[in-house]
Amino acid sequence: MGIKGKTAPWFIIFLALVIILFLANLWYGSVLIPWKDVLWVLTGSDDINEINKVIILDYRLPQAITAIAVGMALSIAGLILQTVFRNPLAGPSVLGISSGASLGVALVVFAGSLFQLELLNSAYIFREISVVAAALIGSFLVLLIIIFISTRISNVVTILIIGIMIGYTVSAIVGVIQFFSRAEELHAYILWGLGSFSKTSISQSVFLLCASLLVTMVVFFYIKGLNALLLGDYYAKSVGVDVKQIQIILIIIAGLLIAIGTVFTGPIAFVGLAIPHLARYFFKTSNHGILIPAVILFGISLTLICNLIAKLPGYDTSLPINAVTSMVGAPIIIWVIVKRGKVKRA
Amino acid sequence: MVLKRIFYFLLAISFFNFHSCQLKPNKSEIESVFESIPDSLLISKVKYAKGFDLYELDKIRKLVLYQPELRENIIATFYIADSLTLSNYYTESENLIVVNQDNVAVFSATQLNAFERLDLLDKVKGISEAKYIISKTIKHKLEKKEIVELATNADLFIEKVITVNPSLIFYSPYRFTNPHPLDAAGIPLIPFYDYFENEPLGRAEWIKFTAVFFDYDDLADSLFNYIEEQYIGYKTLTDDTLIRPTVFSDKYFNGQWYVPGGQSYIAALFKDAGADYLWKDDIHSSSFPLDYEVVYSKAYNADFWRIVGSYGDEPSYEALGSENGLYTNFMAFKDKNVIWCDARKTAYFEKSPLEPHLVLADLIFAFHPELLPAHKPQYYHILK
Repeated sequence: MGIKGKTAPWFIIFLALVIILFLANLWYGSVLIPWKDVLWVLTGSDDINEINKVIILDYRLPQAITAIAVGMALSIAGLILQTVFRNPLAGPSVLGISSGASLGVALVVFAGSLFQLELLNSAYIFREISVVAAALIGSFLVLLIIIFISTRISNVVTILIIGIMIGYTVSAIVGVIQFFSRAEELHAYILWGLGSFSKTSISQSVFLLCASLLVTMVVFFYIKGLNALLLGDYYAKSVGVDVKQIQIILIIIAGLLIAIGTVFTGPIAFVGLAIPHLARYFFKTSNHGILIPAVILFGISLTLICNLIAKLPGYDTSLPINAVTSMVGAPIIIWVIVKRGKVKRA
Repeated sequence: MVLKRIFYFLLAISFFNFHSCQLKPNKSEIESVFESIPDSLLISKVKYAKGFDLYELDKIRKLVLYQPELRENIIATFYIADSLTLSNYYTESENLIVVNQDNVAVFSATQLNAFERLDLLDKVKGISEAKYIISKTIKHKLEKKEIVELATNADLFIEKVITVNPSLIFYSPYRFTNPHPLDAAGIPLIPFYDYFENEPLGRAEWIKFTAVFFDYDDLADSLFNYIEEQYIGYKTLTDDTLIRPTVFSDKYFNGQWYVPGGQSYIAALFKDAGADYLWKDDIHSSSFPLDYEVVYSKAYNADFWRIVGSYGDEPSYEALGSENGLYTNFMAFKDKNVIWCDARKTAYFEKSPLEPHLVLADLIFAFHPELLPAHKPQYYHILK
């Protein structure tokens, strides 16, 4: 059921790729740092330039860890949603869950204009906690609505469409709030929306990674259920899977992963949508025993690659990560759709 | 019979036309009046500002606005004079402005401050962004509805504007990139962009721009001369300074650190205050984004760090450090040499452009306290 035979060497190769990309993220940046400095920092040696140490440990390392956590969380969330809704275009942003998180953040950022609450200017810690809490509450509210609807309506496509509509409604509410907000708040919100891996401290990034790993581990217990869902409700029931229950559990897991992957970094586009397709295409399987680890490794690789591209070779500045993931992710989606079309015609 | 009537009618019309032509004075194009004067005789009253020129000829002022950073491109030209002069001697034109109008709208906070300093607030009937106004006088006028809000952010309340019907609207092109709805209302729009000036005295000189529309040139000149004298006085203090402490500026925000360019307003202030700005050789005239590691590798051991910010509670090193742990790595942070300005409490963005001498004195006091031992900072102070 899981990784064995021909697929095993590939996983070793991709694991090695992830390690190389992780090290490349530590080595490569606007400031040139020798390889040996990167290795010395990792081995804890004191014989290193203090500036390089700060850049590697306090700046590049949290970014790389955040990229790993977000890549893993969003890709797995995308895989779950695509399987549960049996729709290749389901993803974190499609169900409106990311929009829910955005609404939560918008309410905090625009609190000054809306409720005369100067959260943007309040103590930083308080502001940070309110943003995190608001994003979680926002995504879970949308999720609760989806779950509530899914207990009433059994058709997953209908739920998907309702999810898209909720997303639109929430985005419209955010738009109205933006209209009444002031310039500095708008600026802060737009920047959050652009997404960034560099906003997290080392402790936040480790927290993200642990949370992401923990929730992803739970998904491994549902490999059988996920595979059964792919074959249809009747088959799933016949092999003893409680379809409704497993769908709700998986949607909650996906919601948690999306909240983890959005709260500190802002919504990161296309990772959740594109990675499951890449994994399915590469391993030519829909077995979740292979897909889940593959999606984890592919997701991490993609976000680490995007983070490297965002550092803009030869420039002193960097691009917003969302712009890079969109530029890389959107062509993947188009390519997958074209390929599927060709296969169907053949 | 009918032909005869038509003949008399045409005769009457032609006589009337001839007569009226005789009464009308000989009007001319206002442009040609200035064009007829040799350039050597037309001397602009503007000394430092690069965004506009001001000429005066026989009670008519010619105001020329240039594209920022590209003086060859003229954006607009206005001719300002009293209504009698304009209507009697010059053919009608869109760029003729009657001086001293009583009902104007001002959408730039800095320009509003110039109105207040020139004691011209009674002329202002409309403003934008009322909730951020700090001036007590303007707040009071807002409460009494003598001034109303006509715009917020980048959105104009068109119906309100038409109701108030200001005779002139001074606007900031940065915020209103697309003011065409007002074009339809036929209200003259006067762009105000002092923020493009990179020299502190150049920015302050825009007070002359505001004054010319109200025949307050003399007051503006005397206010500006005072600012100039004070600024140069403070600047002279640092001329012989041998030790120039290094300084960097601003904060990291969402993946980017916007650093003031080497040719910017802030860079000029640092230079005049006797500091060595780390990006002084850069070619940008406004802020530009850099990666944290680039800023850190250059500024980790800088002597001073200048921040304009706004915290609801009292700013402190703890608050700054908790905002972003990366800040604690800078020597200026460790040595407690952060030069802080609370934008909200000091009304920095509204008031400081017309008080560059006070800003300069604050910075000199931070970099070289021995040069101004008795100085009481107004905008910047070293964070305790």
